[in-house]
Amino acid sequence: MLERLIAILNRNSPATLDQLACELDTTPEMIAQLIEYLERNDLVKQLGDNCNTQCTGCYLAQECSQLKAGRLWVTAA
Amino acid sequence: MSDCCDTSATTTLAEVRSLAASNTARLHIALAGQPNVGKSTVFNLLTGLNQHVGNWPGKTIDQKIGVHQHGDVTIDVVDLPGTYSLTANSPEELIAREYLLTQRPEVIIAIVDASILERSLYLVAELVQLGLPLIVGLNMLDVARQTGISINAETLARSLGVPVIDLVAAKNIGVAELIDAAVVMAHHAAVPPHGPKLKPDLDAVLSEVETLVASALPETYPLAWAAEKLLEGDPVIAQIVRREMMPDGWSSLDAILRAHSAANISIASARYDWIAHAIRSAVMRRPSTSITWTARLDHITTHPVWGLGVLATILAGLFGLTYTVGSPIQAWLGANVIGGLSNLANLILATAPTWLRGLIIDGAIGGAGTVLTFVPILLIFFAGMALLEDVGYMARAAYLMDSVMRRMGLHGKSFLPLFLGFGCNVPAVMGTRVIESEKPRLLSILIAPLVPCTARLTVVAFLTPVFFGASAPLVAFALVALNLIVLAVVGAIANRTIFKSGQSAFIMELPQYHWPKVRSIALIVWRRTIGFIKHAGTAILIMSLIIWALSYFPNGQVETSWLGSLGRGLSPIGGLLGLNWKLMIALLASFVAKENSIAILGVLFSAAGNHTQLAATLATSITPIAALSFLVVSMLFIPCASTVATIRHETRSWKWTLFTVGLLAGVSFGVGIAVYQIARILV
Repeated sequence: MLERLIAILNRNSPATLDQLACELDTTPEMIAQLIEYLERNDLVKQLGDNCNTQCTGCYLAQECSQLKAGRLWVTAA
Repeated sequence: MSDCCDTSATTTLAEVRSLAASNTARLHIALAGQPNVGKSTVFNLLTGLNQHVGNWPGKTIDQKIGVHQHGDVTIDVVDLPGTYSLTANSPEELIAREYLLTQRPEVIIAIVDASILERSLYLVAELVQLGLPLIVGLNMLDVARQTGISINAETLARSLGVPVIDLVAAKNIGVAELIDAAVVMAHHAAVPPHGPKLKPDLDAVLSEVETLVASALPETYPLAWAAEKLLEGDPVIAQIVRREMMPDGWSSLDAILRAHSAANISIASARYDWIAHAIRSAVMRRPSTSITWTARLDHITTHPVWGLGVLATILAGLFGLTYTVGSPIQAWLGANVIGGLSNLANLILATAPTWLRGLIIDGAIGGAGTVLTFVPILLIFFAGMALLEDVGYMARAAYLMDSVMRRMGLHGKSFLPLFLGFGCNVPAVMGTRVIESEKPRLLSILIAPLVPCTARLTVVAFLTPVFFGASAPLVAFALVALNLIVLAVVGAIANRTIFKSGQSAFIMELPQYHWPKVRSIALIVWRRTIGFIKHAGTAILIMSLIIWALSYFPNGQVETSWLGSLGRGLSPIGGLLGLNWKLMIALLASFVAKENSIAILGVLFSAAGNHTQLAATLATSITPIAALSFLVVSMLFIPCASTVATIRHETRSWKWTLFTVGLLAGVSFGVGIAVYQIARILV
């Protein structure tokens, strides 16, 4: 499942947890776990974390919080 | 529930082990689980006051051991540190696995959180490989039920290959059954668990590794488990094995491990497959009403075609509402409040010098005052945007826009900063910090100013009704669309030429739709409106006064003023754009702040803050084609000074900053000329 997820992410298309769950025939919660595993292994990065730690003093952080976008990840460059 | 009364005094771990070794009616059970799954609650219920809290040897992590009396069987219970897995990622994980590997308890009880089973079962997927009797305590079932999750424990047990006991530890439900099952399991041969299955090719590699390390492992370490950990890249196991192996043997092993450096993904994949299979067979989810609605709506709102239609409709509706409701209020404010203020100033300053009257009435009131009449329009616009953010729609809009931009070849990480650009381009440029790679980041900085910020939209909101009447919402929508198209085209060209870079995938957790909270919307609107008013009272006011002074001196005539001379110098390019010198000056003044162009029009057309007068003057002085050209160039023009300063700060390069400014000036004039010339032919 994890390998299939990586293959999907390698297509470089944007996706939601629900879409990935549908494609892999599992639950969004399971996809979140897989993404967290990839994050622990530096294969994806959570965007909000980066903003909170690197943009201290920047009012972007406040705007970010207003996005109400849930968690956001990108694959490592 | 078994009797928890004590037969022994508080004891240390060493004493527990010693007693266990000498007493056959004594059992040794370890409680394992991830943090916050209720493991300590179970431990406290089992041991009551008969527990000892100390530190694990050499660590500052709590070591909890205790005694539970189950009939005539005394059970030593050890509460292991909370761990997510048995990989050497943290001291807690190292302690837990080292204890299980070396102390070999008779039974491991794994406590899992039923409400987040996908997460909790990862540890179980590792525990089943230790070859120790294992029971799963399915805790927090009440929480799971509340969230619509029902779990069939028998089916789950069959799927995992280990007994599963229902638990609500917080209410002391199921704990007696759990310990009963543990005692039974300790006295009977454990059923071999159905652990995760590796792919056949990796299985063959695993056998190779097992052969090589068989004699180098501590006696209590399960061979298959240790071999798998080596393939996962576990540094602690590798260190142990290397210490015990001959150099030749280690070299062979090291070569295999290097050749399969990505095996950790395959191993984790097998564990997740095992978990997913168990969940598919045993877990039922009843979607809540809000999830159902969210899923239904998302079928439309995130659809590549219908979603864009919804987005276009919502934006058009927002613009329509803004104009329909906001413009009449703005007109009233302009005519009555600002107009009244200028009349009052005229009376008060009747005997004042001409230049002072001009400075106050035409410069301050006609400039900054006119800009302040935007407040009703902004209130509606901000409220609309805040509403869309609060109900959870903006995340969908951002996702859709990312899809569109990606098709144009833009970097996936660009989405967040570009999205912020709709508020203000300054945070958009700063937001590119989320992009680590230099080239994609520079590209995002380059295109960020092309996102139509609130200030540019304000200019559009003021001018489109003046020139386009009932078609104003349509024109405004087209202008925003034009900006996004230009952004995509410039980004795509730059991405394929100057900034050739790789793409990255983008994963988004969309929030559920929910009813808006009036208080949070009101706070956002208040903060943004106050910010705008402060801006109008400072930067825009100062700029209005400077422009007025430049348009008045040296001889009190606009046409022959310093500003007039500068404006006439711009006439060659202004001619191509269909803009007279006053419009060119207003355009240039927008460099200080985008709203400034309206204030400057107010000053140069001597509207004295009277919206009706200014609108009428503009409508008779400027043709709709020229106005369209002006709006196109304004929307695409070089960003405001604050954004340029931010670009310099973020890129640390004047060369790059000037390139950005030059490119945007070229693009805005190029598109403006094209629009004007085409419109002249068509109209």
